[in-house]
Amino acid sequence: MRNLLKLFVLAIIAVGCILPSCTKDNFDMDRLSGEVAYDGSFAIPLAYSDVSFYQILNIMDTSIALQDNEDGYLSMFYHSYVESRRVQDLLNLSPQHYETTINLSDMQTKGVRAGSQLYYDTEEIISFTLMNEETENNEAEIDSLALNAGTLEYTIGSTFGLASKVVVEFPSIKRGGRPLKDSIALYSTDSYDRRTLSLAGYTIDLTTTSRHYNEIPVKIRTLLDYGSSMPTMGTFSVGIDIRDFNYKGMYGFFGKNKLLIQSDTIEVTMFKENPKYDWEHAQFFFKNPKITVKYWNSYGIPSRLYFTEFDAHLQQGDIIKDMSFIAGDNGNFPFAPPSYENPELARLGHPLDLVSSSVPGREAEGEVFADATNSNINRIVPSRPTWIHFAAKAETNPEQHGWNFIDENSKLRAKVEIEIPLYGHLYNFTYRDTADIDISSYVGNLPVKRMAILLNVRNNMPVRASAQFYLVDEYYNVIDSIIKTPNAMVLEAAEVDANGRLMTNEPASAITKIELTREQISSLSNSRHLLTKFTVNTAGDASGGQDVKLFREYGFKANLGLDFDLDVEANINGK
Amino acid sequence: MNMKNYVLILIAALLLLPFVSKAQQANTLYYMDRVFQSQTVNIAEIPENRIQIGGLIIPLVGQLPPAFYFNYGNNSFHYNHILHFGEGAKKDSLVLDLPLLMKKVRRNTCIRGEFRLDYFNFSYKTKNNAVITVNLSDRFIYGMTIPKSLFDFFLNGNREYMLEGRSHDISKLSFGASAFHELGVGFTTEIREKLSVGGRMKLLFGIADVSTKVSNLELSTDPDMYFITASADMQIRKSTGLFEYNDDGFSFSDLGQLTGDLAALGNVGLALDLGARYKITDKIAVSLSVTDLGFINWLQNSQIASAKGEYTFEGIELGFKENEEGKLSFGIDENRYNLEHVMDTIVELFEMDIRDKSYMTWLPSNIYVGATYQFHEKLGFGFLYRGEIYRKTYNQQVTLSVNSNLTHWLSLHASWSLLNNTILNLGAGLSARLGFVTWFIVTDDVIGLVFPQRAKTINMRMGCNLTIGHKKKVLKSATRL
Repeated sequence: MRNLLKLFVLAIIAVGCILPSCTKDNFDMDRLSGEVAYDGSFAIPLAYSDVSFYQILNIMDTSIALQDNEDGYLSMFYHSYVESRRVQDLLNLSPQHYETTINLSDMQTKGVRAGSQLYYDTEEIISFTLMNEETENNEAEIDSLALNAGTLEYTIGSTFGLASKVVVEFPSIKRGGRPLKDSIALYSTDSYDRRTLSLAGYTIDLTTTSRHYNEIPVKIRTLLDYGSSMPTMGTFSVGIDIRDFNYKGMYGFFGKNKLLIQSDTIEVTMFKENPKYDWEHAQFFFKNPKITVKYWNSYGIPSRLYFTEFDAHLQQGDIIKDMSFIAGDNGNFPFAPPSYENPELARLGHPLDLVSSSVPGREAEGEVFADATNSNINRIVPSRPTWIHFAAKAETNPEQHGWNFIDENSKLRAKVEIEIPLYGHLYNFTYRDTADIDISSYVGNLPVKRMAILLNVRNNMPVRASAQFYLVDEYYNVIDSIIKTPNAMVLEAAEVDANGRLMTNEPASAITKIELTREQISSLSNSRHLLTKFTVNTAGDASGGQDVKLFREYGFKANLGLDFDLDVEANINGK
Repeated sequence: MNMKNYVLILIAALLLLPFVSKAQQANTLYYMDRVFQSQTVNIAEIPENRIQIGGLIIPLVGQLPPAFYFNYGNNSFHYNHILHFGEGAKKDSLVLDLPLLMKKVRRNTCIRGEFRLDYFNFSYKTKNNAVITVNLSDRFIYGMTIPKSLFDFFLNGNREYMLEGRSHDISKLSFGASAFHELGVGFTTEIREKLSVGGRMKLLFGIADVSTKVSNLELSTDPDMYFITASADMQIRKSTGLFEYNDDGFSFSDLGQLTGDLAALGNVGLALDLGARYKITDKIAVSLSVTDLGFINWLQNSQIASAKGEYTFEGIELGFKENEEGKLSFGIDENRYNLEHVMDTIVELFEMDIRDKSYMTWLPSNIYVGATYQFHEKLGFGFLYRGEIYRKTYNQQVTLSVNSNLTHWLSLHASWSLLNNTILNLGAGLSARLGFVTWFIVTDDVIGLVFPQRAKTINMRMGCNLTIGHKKKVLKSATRL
């Protein structure tokens, strides 16, 4: 029995020793060969996308602003802004200076004696000379000014050699209803003094004189303390400077001012030279293109806007100059006003009288446009203009005399906008792109013996498209094409009615199945880029020229599926 | 992470994670009459000692060896059916053999398991052979049933099914993992000279549970669009604070929450063990035992996610998105297709209705039918039939054993079992009493312990008991009659 027990214990010890060595190897992952054979056969939905035409166009050309137009469908917009200068720069109040001399004889004859003192009151008028150098004929007639800031400096000089005092008062420069008043006292040893005052928060009324504009009255009192004997000679000199104007508001008649002199360009990127697009062989027509000038005016001044240049630049370098496309029989586009600067174009001119603001701080807005009804623009778009150059001017008070106002934020802004409505037709337009991806890194040694790609597109757009995908090597040499049936439609167009709208909500369906042979799969591995080519047509055929409208909600749903037989003999160690 | 680590994780997931039940599979233990833990599978067993105490909380001997039990069973495949040494040049390399795995997979792969820690076991026998037992244990039972068609779907693909217009029926798919505390009080007595009966009432406190309830789950592929449609009528249920689903999606708590789960006493359950043993002659006896007849009602942190209907997967959605500058780009919604949000994606895909709601799970229950024949005073033979009811499956096992109380202090046991569709299951058990301490160790498959790479069953139980009131006389029979 004892031997049996010993044998049993020895057996357990032996098993305990053997166990780690023979079992451990089975769980030693360093021994994993890494080779695995696997041959499943799958059909899987890979991806899907529900995209709108709006999104596709947006991603193809980021410079396009796509918006719903007045008729509800989409238009492409290209625009540029022009803007007037800062109002403080435009109507710039220059420094005002006034000086006068008061001599002893005036004081003795018109002044009053009181004891040993002699004082004399006089009222002067400071003529407010305006304005900035661009103001024509200096015809501005300012009624009042409200100041954020300003400086009034006055100087007093005396040759009497006696104690004296000069008091200046501006009855029309007020703050809180109180006129601006100040004085300087001179001792017998003083002959000159200066005082600087801030005009922040003051208003200046320039209508209190008989002229009723552009004048500021000032009252000056000179006082001389002569003691026991009256001097025999002497004068007071008074100088007044008003400068550093920063106005909050200004009222009156401001005369003619050049609000805007600016030139700019608008790029029509869709027609720009782009290796992705081929417009040259495309047949297209966009119905009712339009150029609109929208403006926002916070000046309380009657103003006039007009363009002096408006040129369409074509891809080949040709230029359609000077609005030959703007002026139609009923042209009213604001271009070069009659009898102004460019007489030879005067016949075209229809200057735009801008609506001006009626209340300080509020913008008035308006617009003017050129379209097929009043211009030749319809003839320009087919020429594929790549950019539009324009120059514009605007001036204040072009004709009449009236009451004007401006505030510190007054500005004239104008937006020149080219609208190309997505209403028309397009045939044989090709779009090419190269996916800059190393396909071999995705499908290199793809362990499949057969593969089919299924593309199912349900289209809710009146647009059809065929596609081709080329496998190209690193030098962009075509190795193979994916779709073996030329001109096979991957997108079928939904039908439209006479108004260019979809007839039903039923999508047009197109199923494309691309079978890839082992050779093609192999060429996938050798390819470095994928070149895609889409040929796009709107509904109908080119001879019919059926016009379609593209609405925001139009789009398509695409499902991509993959059907493949795996033939994996891979090394999962990646060695 | 290296690819081979992925492989290891995959295999571990297949073999280990989806344990479920085979709860209380202890076929060799059934006839180890000197180990009073045999009462856990046969409550009608009357221990030979007056007082026995075991479990982890017993000073010194309680931890040498620790009183634990673990079991793993897989009725389809073992590790070497996935990874094995190759042939020829690859004889020293492990080869991933998916075709072999597919060949070995049965109609329903049932993977079951249990881990049990006994903190305290106590039995007291009166002079007239009435026995009172008390036990306090923690149990973790877990498992998975995987229909073959799911392996088919992933390993062979769906194309053939699609072309034949068939769907992958995976309605048998199930997963469950429950952890709970068990407090049991049992009573066994001889009601007649030849008949002993016993019963144990067990109060259960659920710690955590994650389980599924699948009534219908089918995957079909549309031959025109390749859309994969799942027809589902299923629930995923959980009762744990470790994670939850709310308006913001899935969120996971830190592991500190586990302390809260362990201390939770709100998930209450009850279970019953019943047994009887009848001595037909001096040499022949029969027994019947039913264990773990019970349930747990999961109340705390419980949520049920239900999906009922048809759900179609059309592929990954590609779309346009606007960046901060307002520019559009085309691609995948990274927030949606993100591994961190995979659970949210599943909830979204199946349009799951998630509610805070309690639910009940049944324990895997066992039926044992046994018979013994006493061949010699020190040698007896045993037969045992075991049936396990777990959800919709019923698994059966048969064990033949040789049992010997060799000396007054040593018992040896050997068994052969038909387990998990394999006949190569040789079990062994040993108990040795030194003074007032009895050590024991038992397994239903020694080969599984020695060669786990070839094992469909791996189980082992061990422990140590303080034994008081031992009869020094050598028992006449090795197998108690």
